Amino acid sequence: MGGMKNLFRGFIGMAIYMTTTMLIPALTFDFVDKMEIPIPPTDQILDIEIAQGGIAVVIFWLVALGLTISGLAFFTWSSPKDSRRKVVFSILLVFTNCFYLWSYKFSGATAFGIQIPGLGSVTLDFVGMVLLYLGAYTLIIVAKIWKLIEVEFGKRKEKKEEKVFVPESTFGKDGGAL
Amino acid sequence: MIIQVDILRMIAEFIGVVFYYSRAVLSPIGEVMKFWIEFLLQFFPQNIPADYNFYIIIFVVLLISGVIINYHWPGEKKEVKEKEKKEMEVSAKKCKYCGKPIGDSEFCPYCGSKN
Repeated sequence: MGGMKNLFRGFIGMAIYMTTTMLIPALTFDFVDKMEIPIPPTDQILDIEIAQGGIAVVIFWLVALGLTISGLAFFTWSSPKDSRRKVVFSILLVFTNCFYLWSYKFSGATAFGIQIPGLGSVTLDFVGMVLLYLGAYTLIIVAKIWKLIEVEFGKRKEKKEEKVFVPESTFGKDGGAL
Repeated sequence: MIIQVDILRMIAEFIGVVFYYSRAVLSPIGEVMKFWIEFLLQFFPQNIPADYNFYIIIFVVLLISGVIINYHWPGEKKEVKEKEKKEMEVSAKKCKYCGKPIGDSEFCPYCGSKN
């Protein structure tokens, strides 16, 4: 019964990650790439170019790493609370998330070129923002490692208690046998 | 509409302030992360074929192993143990008069009184 509950939780986690790492970014990039903004009064088109026209590369890396992240999210979310496998896989998930974020950089998705008719072009580079997120992810990794240590100590303590545990029904409170 | 724009502007300003002040601390840490990611990426794209099959296989393997592992080890062990512990504690009936455990027997083995 608990297994089914875990799996249900895993599928919810997977759906969340699939939406946030694959669906929404892919749709957004596609939308921005196809977007045409008419500039009054001549109604010339303002063209926004992502990854110097290589949007397919961006979407490939989004989907590829998004799939890996979703698989790891399923494993992490479906693992029981305070288990080693949950913490270990959540650390792996954060590392993969770092790769995912960096894929925005190496696929060129962080560079937006905007062609303004009659004026020239502007390039917006979001690498700084990616670095900021990577920094935040580092702090999350540290927190997860701390959690792993905590879980490990908890398990050891539990094992020790198991060895010493003697139910009251065997001996009285003062240690006298029944 | 005006309220919506105001709310969006407020959110954008809030995020901007958070980013602005955390940048001094987080960006250098991000640079360190960038270093190891770029090091790993030297091996990454060349050795892995650039089609979805490889990633689909990873996804399916993780999914199936997750299902199997959760089927065999659902993590209920702790709850069951606690239940057993509680049951054992409940089964340790105590004497009404001296308070010592008497188990299931009617007479207390310590004071001899009937319970």
